[in-house]
Amino acid sequence: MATKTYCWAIVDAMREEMERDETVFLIGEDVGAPEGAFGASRGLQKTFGPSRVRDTPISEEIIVGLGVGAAMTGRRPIVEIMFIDFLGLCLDQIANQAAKTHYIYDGMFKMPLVIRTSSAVEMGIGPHHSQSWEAIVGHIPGLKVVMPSTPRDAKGLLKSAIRDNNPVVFIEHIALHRLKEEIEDEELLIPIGKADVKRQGRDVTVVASGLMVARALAAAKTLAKDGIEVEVVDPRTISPIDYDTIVDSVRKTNRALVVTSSHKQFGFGSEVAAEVQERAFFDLDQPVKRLSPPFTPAPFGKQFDDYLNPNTDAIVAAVHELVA
Amino acid sequence: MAHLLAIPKLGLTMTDCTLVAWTKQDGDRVEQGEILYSIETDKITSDVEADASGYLRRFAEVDTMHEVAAVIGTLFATRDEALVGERDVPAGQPAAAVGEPSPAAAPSRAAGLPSMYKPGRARVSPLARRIAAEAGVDPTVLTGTGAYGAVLRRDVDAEIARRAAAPKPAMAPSAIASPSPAAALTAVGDRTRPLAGIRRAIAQKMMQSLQTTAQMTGFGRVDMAEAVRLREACLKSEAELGVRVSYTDIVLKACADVLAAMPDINSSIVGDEIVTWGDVNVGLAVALDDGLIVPVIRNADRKSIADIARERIDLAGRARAGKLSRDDLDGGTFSLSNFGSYGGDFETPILNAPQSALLGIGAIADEPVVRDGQIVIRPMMMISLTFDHRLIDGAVAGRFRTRLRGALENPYAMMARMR
Repeated sequence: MATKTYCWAIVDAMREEMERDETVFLIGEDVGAPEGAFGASRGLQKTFGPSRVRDTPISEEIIVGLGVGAAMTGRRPIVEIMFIDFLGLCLDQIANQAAKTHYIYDGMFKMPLVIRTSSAVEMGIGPHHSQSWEAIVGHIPGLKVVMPSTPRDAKGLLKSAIRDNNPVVFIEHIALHRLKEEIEDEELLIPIGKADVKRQGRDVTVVASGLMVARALAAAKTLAKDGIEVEVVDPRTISPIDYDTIVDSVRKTNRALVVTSSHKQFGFGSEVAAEVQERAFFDLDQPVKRLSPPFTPAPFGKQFDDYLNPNTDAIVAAVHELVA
Repeated sequence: MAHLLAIPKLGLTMTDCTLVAWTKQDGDRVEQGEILYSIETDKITSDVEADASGYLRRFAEVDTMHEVAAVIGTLFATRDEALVGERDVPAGQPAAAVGEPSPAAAPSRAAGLPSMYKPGRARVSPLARRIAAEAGVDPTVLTGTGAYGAVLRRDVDAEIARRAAAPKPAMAPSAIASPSPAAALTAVGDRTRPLAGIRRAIAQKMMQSLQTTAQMTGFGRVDMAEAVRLREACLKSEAELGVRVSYTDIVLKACADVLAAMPDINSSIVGDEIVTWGDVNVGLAVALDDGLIVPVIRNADRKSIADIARERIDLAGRARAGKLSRDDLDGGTFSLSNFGSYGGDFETPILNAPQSALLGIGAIADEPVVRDGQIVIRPMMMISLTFDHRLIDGAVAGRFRTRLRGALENPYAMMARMR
């Protein structure tokens, strides 16, 4: 067992998979010599050389397009798009090429492509670098979307993503990069599509992903002092989402809150809320509640962070309303 | 600008009420200060004035129950707005679309009332609905404790627990060849009405009293010859006294006199403490057409029999007219119930919690009794004293009965003590 940061867990996952399989390679802006804009490819180019860890120009469509072609011809590329906001520049390659290849070629071509990208909501870096777009990619059939909230989940899910024959959008959060956790030294593969109950509770189910998981857990701790036992379910995978685990939890608690760092409108939280009521309507004692950032572009400056994502106090208040 | 009509909180303990009447129709003009509707809380019907002017649209039906701050109607600026039917509001659109409610006037809970919560429709959570169906409970008649008065699981669970604790109906559902208990108990001619207002208040109080205290009833016999004489004297002086004294007044006075000397009886268990009340306030049970109410005569130990009579007549009259205020009902430390007036001798009356004792009196009737070895005919009265055995021991209760008997058999001593 060693304590690892989320960032190092990602480096380790890529290193292990590159050692294991020489068809795995990494390309992206600043992933080579600079060792990653956020340090998430430290040491990789030194170990595997510039042909397997490759810097690219600032050209997202080419980066993903190259990955799509390489994946179709038998490689296992990891492409890095520095901020999820930049997916707009390469969405054709992701949504219309990578996501559709299996279907169009009836499985003759595989698409073992990983698109590693980062959300930076609440880092104070303005409207073009602060979005949480899991719902946009989650809306596209043919893509898998993963959004780990802890170092261990990040490592295990990234290794599974690299071995997956489908295109996987792997969403990190920069604010989580420094989060530490003990991770076993043995091989760690966490299945895509399996939620994790991060805390057991009987009163309210809080579904939270990414950055929101830690806040849901902090809120649960506060609420426990009032005798309210919150169950925190982290879907970990946005698509395909593990509704069974979520619905089982709601059947137990009869109340659900979904906390997201993406917008409520047409979003992940809405999707979970809708599915929960379809599957568990007669187990609900309260309407399903959603907590999300306001429907506005993110302003520049850390001083606005409090107004963006739901914070622990907001989660506590929302849970109180559900048990009132 | 539309104004939401919200149920006011008329007393510290008021949480909900039954809407008993509207004085206006949909579309009627309402002026601020006019009486617009009536509500019934615990045991009292109150008229509520309009707190703004406008054209009325009613959301709530008469005989429905509402929480404090629930919105039961809206006053609109124009008659046309008031007459726009609910169905004209597009589904899913907030009620605000037909007229912005004034945020200052609207209570916070009501202000956020989404249009999905149609007024007048029982709000039952899906889970509560399912559990109620499984248990054969009609959730729509329960009192909801959730937001907007919604019936939640806990409300249904409480009802199921209450039914489990209640005695079984005489005709067990299983005795009838029908698989559904609800269907088995429903026959042509059955009628249901909400357990509301005074009936609900009585139901809750009675159950709570029996479930939270250790009640015991002791009986005694009182020779009322001197009390009869005293009352006859009072009747002779009716013009002078200005009031017609009844036996109830004399017994109530005697109770107060003994209570003042026996503070252990004039006490209550409140939480983990025993409170001995400084005042002797005697409640008097008054039968109404639908139910019973217990207005209080305060400091009865310091009042004359004539004063008590006057107060009794006033309270009973107002009780029957539904004009008692909350103050008339609060603060009792002991109660008196005269079941002799409907022919009873002995009963085991239920305590009016948190009071620790209650006296029931039977009818005065001539009976043969033995006095000095001789059978003589005396006007006798039975008394039934229910007391909370947690606080009052049998011997203490017995002493109370003995002293009370003494006070009634020789009422002159207590009159001599009158200041």
